[in-house]
Amino acid sequence: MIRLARGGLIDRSRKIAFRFDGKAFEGFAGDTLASALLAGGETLLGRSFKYHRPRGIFSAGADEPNALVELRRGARREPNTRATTTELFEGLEAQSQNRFPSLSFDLLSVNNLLSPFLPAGFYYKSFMWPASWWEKIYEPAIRRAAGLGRASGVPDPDTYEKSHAFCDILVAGAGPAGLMAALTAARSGARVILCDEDFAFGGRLLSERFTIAGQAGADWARAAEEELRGYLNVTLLPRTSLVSVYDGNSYAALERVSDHLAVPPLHQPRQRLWKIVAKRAVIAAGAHERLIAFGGNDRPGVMQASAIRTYVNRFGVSPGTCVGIFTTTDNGWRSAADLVAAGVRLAAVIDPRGHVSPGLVAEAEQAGARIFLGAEVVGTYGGKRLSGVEVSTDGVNSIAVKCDVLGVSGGFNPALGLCSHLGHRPQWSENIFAFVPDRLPPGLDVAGAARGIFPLGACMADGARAGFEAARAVGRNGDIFLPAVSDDSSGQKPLWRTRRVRGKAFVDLQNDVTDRDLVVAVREGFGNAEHLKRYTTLGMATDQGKTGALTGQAIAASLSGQPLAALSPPIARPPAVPVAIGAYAGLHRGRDFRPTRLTASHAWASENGASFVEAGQWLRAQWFARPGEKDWLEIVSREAAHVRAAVGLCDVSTLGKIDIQGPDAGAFLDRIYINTFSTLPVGKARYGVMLREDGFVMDDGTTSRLAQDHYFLTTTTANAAKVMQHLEFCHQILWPELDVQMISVTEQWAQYAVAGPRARQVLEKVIDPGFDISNTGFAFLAAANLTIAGGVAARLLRISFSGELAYELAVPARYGDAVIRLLMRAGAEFGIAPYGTEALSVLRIEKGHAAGNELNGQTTARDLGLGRMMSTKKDYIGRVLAGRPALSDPGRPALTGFIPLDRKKRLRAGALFIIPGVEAIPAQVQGHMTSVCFSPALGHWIGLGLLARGPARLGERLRAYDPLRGEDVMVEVAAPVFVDPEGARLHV
Amino acid sequence: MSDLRPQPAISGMTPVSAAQPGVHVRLIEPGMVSVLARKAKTPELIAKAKADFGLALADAPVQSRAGTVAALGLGPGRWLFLGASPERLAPYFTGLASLSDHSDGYAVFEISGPEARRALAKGVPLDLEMFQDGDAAVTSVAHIGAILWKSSPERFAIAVFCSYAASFWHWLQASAAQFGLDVENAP
Repeated sequence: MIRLARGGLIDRSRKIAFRFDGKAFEGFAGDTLASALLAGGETLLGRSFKYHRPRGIFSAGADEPNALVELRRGARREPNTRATTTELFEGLEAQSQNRFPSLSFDLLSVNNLLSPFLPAGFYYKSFMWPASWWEKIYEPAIRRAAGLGRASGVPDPDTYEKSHAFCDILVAGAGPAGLMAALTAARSGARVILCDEDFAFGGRLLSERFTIAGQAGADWARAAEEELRGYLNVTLLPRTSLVSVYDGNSYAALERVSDHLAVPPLHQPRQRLWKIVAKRAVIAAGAHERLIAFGGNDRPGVMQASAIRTYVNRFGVSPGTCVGIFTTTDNGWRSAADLVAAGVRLAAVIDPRGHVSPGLVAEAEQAGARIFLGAEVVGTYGGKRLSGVEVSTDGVNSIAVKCDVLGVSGGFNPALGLCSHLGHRPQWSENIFAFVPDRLPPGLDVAGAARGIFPLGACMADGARAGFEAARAVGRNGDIFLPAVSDDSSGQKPLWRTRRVRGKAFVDLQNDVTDRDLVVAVREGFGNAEHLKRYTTLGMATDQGKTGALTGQAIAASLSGQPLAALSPPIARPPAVPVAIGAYAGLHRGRDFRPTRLTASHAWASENGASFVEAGQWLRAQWFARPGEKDWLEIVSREAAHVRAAVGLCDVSTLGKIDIQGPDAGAFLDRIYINTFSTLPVGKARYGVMLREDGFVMDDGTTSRLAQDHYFLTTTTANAAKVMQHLEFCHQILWPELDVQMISVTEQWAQYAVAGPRARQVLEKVIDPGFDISNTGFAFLAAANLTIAGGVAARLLRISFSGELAYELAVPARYGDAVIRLLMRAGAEFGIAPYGTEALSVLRIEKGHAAGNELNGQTTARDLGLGRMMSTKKDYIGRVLAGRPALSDPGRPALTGFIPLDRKKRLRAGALFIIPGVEAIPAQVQGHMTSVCFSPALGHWIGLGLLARGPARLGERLRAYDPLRGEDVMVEVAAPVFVDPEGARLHV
Repeated sequence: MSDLRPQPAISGMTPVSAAQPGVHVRLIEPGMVSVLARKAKTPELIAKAKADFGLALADAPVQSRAGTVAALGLGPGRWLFLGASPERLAPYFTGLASLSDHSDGYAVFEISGPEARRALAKGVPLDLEMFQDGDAAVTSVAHIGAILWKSSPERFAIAVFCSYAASFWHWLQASAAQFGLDVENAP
């Protein structure tokens, strides 16, 4: 809680002001929020998840379980941010979380007193009845009481982006092993990316007092970074965590581009998610110091012994005035020595081991510390801050030792999460009493402490080895240069839980899991690591149990009498550290969630009052409102009626268009469609239906023949890509012997339907002289290449979806805008009016044409009344399976028309057909309504539907029952073609 | 001659100002024709292209160039000719290939500048550093299908279906903004 007079890698000339819970603090450039708060004397940072116990800072890195804060304010508020990894910036504001009304006086800490009644599995067991209460009452209440931070609830004002990178060798972690790996690889000339989650490279070298090549470790790290920066073949990514390992040598990394700034600079993202493809990767992620389960091991002031070294050596902060160390490792003694060197009072060192290297002990003894060998800390004293510890040498008697900070070292767990993302489990090591890598994904290597190699010299040598081997694997010759390193020892003997425990002994500080929860879990048969995690929440949430999960698993193993070597750790899944959803979304938010496709007439339609509707990625004009029109129904009815009375204009460019060419084009289409196209004359169009292999209808559309070896196939908008894929598959896999070529030309052509009795008059004004489009010269289903407006190439098809005299005019897309304006000008004297997709739908329902609602993947050609198109003279995709008894059963629901008996009633798509007088139960449903509209031609609602034996039931009366909307309308079964059933209007 | 005015696939490309823009973009409108070899005609087609256009067509994802005409290999026996029209090619390739006009189907952006690669990396899932002059790929950029090729030692060309032009531009503008974006021929 004091800033040391000197030392540390902070810039004491640059002061940074910040606030925590409204109180003003000051830190230095190079501080984290945690180090600056410690320097400011703040030791209480949060309340625990379940019991609301006071918590302080436990670590100095990403493994922090306790010190989670809400960072920033307003829309930028970011919950569950680790104070230990938050780089201090001017004006930073943080709030403690999970407390009410305040951090020091938290009403919900009553949970702590209730804790005997809140064992593991408590919620599952207690809130089971009544089941319906879970969602509405229990869960919201529990979430309120046991939660972490609050999201801002408003849109994030910052941007996030993604980026791709490629390299020969990716090194994750810039500690001693990672730097050696990167240096060795970089010097070989390989393309190297080195990333580290910290803002400074060096890892443990920044926290310790070792010398490398005659200089301080931190200075060596800085020199190594400078050397790497000088290589053109090296990319350095600080503030970047490798978060996921994927197949194909690809990795995800999160770069915190602007997290260390109050607000991202103009045009800079807040964070950037990298996809990195690396031929080889070296994971040098280090190790996490684990806790020991002893009574009161969560009290503010109890922290990792290695974190104390970090605060003292890197940040120039002593976390306390009088420090005790409880260690089972040599490393803990080094923390003690560092405190002594920094002039901090060392109260005691407690080591359960009976024998410790005399050199380590002598240093502590000289500083006046009390030494307890073969002893344990069994409990702690204090309220919101540690005041002392209870030490027992025999497990029975104990003495009190005063201290305001206790450093704990229970051993080190290699950071292996990334190694198991592809399903590879690590193996137990009896050397370090932790898991080390076993089998690894292809192309991935692990080096240094992450591989369980802890002494500094060996760790650096292993990094060099990994860099060398990776370079060789990518065809580079490297050399290994190892600098001289000061001595380091890594003796340890694990202690998972003290023999005696006074108070609560936590194994997961973030989730408030105690040793007693483990007893319950094992007793109830949930001792396996995967079960233990789900049952007790051991190892869940933001820290993923980096400091305590293994301790918990080891205790559970001993409770169930299992040897540690039989431990199987849970497989870690990506991401290795929390990643904001925004980073995964990148730029694809809101309107940019997916790309939007616009037709050539989009600008014109916008100018003319169009409302747009999404059709897949396309935006299509849904209708064109005129002043005074009160609702969509009025607009759409006017548009549809106008087509039947005069002439309308509709953009149909979104339909899929495919050029099919080659000598076998006709034969190919014969195999694709149920009907025949090889006999189609040049200059003619034909409606076609294609089936899937299983006999159901896949798509329909009009295909025309422009030349002997050239067909122009159209698909529905929705199925354009699927049909293209189907055709390619059929050609490449099924019939490669056919000489046919195909390519999508959807985008080449802007295509407009000109429909209505006056359509020809409009077109005659734009088509160049010499082309005859009269009824005799260009009859229904004619197709031709021609020119318009003085030489612009065009395709004209006399096809009709509306049932009126109609043409579709296709022009090169860059003329799409000009041509729709031209058609509107040319059609003005004939009253031309644009219509949108809704009127298009009304017109087709009036004509009984099947569309998406009927082509639903469950209908056959016969169901749609198209059975007579199914050729019996040739084979085609789906023919055999369409002949299955169930698919040719005459009792199948088939396309039928419906009219409300009371002509004023509205019909609803989705309504179920029930015979009057019969109970409305699923077994009695005769079919359902698929499409409805108000028919301006008939003056009442009409519907299309699929009704069992429908075509044979004309005139029958049925209930159209819609339980969803609570409507029940009597309808009469009718033929599906409501307007001009003879088709006379097509031929005028 | 028609008095209809053709429109580019996108209008309103606004630059992002910077003292020294790191990324430059321009729209180009080459005539584009797909040339799909008929069955077993690839060798003959390649020979014909060499003889008639001096074009060394490669059955590979690269751009071949001869004068004002270039061809991109899109797949086995499939090319996209640039600087061409079906009318011009038809006399040479009749019986050897099926031709379709795509001059209006694509919006083609040419991107250059010292930061072009870093900007493109935000959506292009390819190792552009390894792209040699003329290398081509059919890929996707920010979820938009694209043909990308190195049209010159300094430039990347990206063709997207013209209906995607506005969405693509929006992505490019956002991705290049931090470097400054200069629009050379704003339509």
